[in-house]
Amino acid sequence: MTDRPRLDFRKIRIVFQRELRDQLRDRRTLFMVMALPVLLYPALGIGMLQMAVVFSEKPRTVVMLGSASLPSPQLVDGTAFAPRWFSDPDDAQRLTVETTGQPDTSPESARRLSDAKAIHKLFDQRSQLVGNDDPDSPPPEKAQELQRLNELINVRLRDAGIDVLVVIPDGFADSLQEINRLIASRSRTAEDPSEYPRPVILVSGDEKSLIASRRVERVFNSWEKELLRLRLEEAGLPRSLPSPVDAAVVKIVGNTQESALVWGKLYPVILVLMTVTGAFYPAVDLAAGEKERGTMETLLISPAKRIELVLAKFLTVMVFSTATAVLNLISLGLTATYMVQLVGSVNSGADVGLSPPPTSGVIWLLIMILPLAAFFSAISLALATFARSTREGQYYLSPLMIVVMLLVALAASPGVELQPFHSVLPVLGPILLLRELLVNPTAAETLAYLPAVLGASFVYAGLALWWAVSQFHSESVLFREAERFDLRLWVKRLWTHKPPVPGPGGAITCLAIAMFGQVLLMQPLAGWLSSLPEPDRAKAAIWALVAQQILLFLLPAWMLTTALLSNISRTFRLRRVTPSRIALAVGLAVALHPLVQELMRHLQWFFPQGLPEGSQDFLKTMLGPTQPAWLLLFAVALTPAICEEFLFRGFVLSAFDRPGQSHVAVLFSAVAFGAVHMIPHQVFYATLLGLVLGLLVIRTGSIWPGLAFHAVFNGIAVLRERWDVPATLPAWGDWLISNDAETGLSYDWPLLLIAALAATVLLATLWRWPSPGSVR
Amino acid sequence: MIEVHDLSKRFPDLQQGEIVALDGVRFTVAPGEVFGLLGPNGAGKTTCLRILSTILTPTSGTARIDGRDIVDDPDGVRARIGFLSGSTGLYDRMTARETVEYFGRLYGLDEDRLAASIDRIFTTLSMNEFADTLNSRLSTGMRQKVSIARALVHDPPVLIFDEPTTGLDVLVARAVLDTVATLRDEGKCIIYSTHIMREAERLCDRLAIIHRGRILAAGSQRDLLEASEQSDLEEHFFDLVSQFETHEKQHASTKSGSDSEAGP
Repeated sequence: MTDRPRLDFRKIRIVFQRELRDQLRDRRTLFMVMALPVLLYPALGIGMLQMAVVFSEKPRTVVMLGSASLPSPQLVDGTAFAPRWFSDPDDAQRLTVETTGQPDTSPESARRLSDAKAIHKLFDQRSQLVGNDDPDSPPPEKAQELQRLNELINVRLRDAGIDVLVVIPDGFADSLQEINRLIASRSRTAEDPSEYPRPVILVSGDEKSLIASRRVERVFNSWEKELLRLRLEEAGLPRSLPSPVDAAVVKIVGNTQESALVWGKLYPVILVLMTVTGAFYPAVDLAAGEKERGTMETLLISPAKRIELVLAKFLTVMVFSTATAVLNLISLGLTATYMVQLVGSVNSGADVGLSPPPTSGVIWLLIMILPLAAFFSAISLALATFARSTREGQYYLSPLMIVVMLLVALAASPGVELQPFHSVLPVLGPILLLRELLVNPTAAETLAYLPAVLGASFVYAGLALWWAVSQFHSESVLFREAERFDLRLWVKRLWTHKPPVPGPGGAITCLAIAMFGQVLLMQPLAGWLSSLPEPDRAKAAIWALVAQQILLFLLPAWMLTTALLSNISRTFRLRRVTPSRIALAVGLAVALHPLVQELMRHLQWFFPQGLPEGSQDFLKTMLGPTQPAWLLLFAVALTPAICEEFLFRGFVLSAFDRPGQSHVAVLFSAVAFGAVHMIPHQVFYATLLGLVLGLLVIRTGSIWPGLAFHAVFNGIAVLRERWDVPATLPAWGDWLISNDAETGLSYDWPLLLIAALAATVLLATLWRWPSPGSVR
Repeated sequence: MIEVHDLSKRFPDLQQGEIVALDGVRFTVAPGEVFGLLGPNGAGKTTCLRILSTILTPTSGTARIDGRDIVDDPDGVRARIGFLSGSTGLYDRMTARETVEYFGRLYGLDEDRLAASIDRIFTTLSMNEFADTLNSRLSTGMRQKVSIARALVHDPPVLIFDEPTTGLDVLVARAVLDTVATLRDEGKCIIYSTHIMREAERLCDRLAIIHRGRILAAGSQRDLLEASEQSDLEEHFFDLVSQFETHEKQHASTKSGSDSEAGP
């Protein structure tokens, strides 16, 4: 089907209006898009408030024995610890303290006190048993008895309803008093004055008691500090003696800024989730639903072009995606602000007000919805078009969600910051930019990323839309019957009907092996290398590189081809070419090498710090002048040229090469070639070279020029590292190459100019060559 | 008006490797004529008509409809045809009137012409009483009327009917046939596919009997009957199909026989 490129916007509008009205009449869509956000957040908010009321912490019971021996200052006030020992005085209510000296004790309390005494006796037994041993690893003859006592104490504490049991030893106050006196008089005694019985805090193992015991410990700590200060005062020493540093932590954040941090974390996540959800359900209804109800045929025979239909549907999906996101954000913002105010007014005095994001932040939020909504709408529409039914369509939501959530999690990890490379990644770029903009909406260095983020996002949306349009042009997708997939039949067919060249499925299999293989081998390989003695490591790494190239790149492609395809020479384009073709490839490699080097040198700022320094050093020794040149040329130039070319310019290129669409095949193979290089700047570098290599192979119809280019290009890189420039450079070469001690070898502009001219001429020649046609 | 040249269509298939849905089909249809495509289920009728309405592209061959080529100018073709099949769906959340209006606007009718056209069609098909009811509440017969109205709204010179009476009761089916006859009398060029002999007998000026993607015989009903010894179209149809099957079987066995002879 050839669509003429002119679009009829009237038809797009008519279809768009219909789809919009149709969706607005659909109760399910309305519920997902409108009702859910408007009701969900307030309902959640109310729910949380109620939970807070219903499940508010009950006060925990602390039983204290020997409270009569407590020294001043007053630790217990009535049935609670004195509020002054808590950092938040309200926390005093969370612990009920029962002591022997209290005036009107309830029957339960009296029972608990007598239980407490019994438990204390058990504890004394345990202390005697343990003696000077470590109770966590007791000697074997005591272990059983200790275990029994521990369990018994635990059970008794729980049965008695005692969360924490505090035992103050008899004469505790007197002991302290005595030491205070000794210190004040600066007199020494033969005995160590710190040898006196200490209080014990006993707690059973269950979680609520542990929380209570931590509170009791904090109370005792602040009480102890105060005791210490009093002791110092008594001895005529400054109160500040025990805390000589006491650094002051001052947070200089305004209320709005603190809120912005909260919004900056919360809003991007909600934004992404809601643009996906808001896009997905309408998309499934608009594409898979249309097939399911049999209206697709009617629509396709209408005069609207398929691209017009897709655009209209895309716009509809985008409206719902945007609306869902906006409504969710408003509802969430209002609920959160209201809730915080409510909590703030209850906790009077506490400054927990969460102010709404600044107006400029809100505007940025609305702006960033558009690229995200566009991207997700296009992706959802393509997936939904592929699906046979709405049910199948809904199955595709989970994988999409998982990928999106991974990106969101990545954006939330602290190491990932807004930075040139991240700014051009899908989903990640908008989230990171938005986070910065919500905190500081006018920072110039943040705003500088805006064009890149928006540009890249719209490019991704465009690509996804192009995919959706191509789905709409595919007969096998539009009229997929509900065929049953039969694995046995499929496998049988793989063997009996061997196609001459691979399809996309084969290419994806090979690429998956290459990618996952690299990731899986990384750890064991590093382990193996570090187990070797230092001097052998570099050489072993070089051979590992060779083995990896052969095992992961060449072998899978070769095996799939020989096993499942009928035409090996067509798949790998093993066509003989004239020496002039090879010469052009070699010339192009020589001309492009300095240009690409300089480009990468100037683009360093763009990429995140790639490898850790240790690995970089290792790479330097591995590829450095200590290794013999032949070995490096073999491992870094020749092997990759063969293995990578056979996989990428052979197998993968043929898999996507269709008559009239060779540019798509070149692009795909280049991106795949880039992707297996993993480290961002190498991905870019390899993709760039992949485009040239793809063009070379498509235009000559043969893999050999690509192989020659690759080998020569990598060979130059190896030799450049080893070239001792000042020694061999004649005087006239000065203006072509400079060798600076700091920046290393670099090419000067006359050489770059010559290289650029040569590369342009060679590329133009290549471009004009008639292509021998697709492998199909 | 419709000229079909050597139309072929092959689909990839998991089981058989490839399915030949159409194999060198050729015929012409003149204005004011109903051309019948008669064949059993799976004969290739729907594939043929889908190619003519440009939803599918032919593997080889082409066709011209009202002077427009289906491969080179699919948009021009779609503007000149009305297509109706038995399985055509309707948008549930739209009323009959909205449905027809929507397609009328897509065909580029201005509002006055659209209103006039809808008025005329709704009266002819007596659809006015359910014109503003949602499609989801309509009976099968009513729905098919909406589909007919949708196909006719832009007054196309060529009409393609693909088993339009499937699933309809006798009364509604009869109304559909009457509508087709009226359209023929108005001078439309009509292709009508069916597997029901009586419909073909009643309606079609000329017929092609199609089986396994090939046209086995074509001509007026009288021509077809004269060529055979049968007195009735249905018998003739069975004859043709069984002759074809026997021939295919013989062909296959001689082929495999010669293959084995050629072996070592």
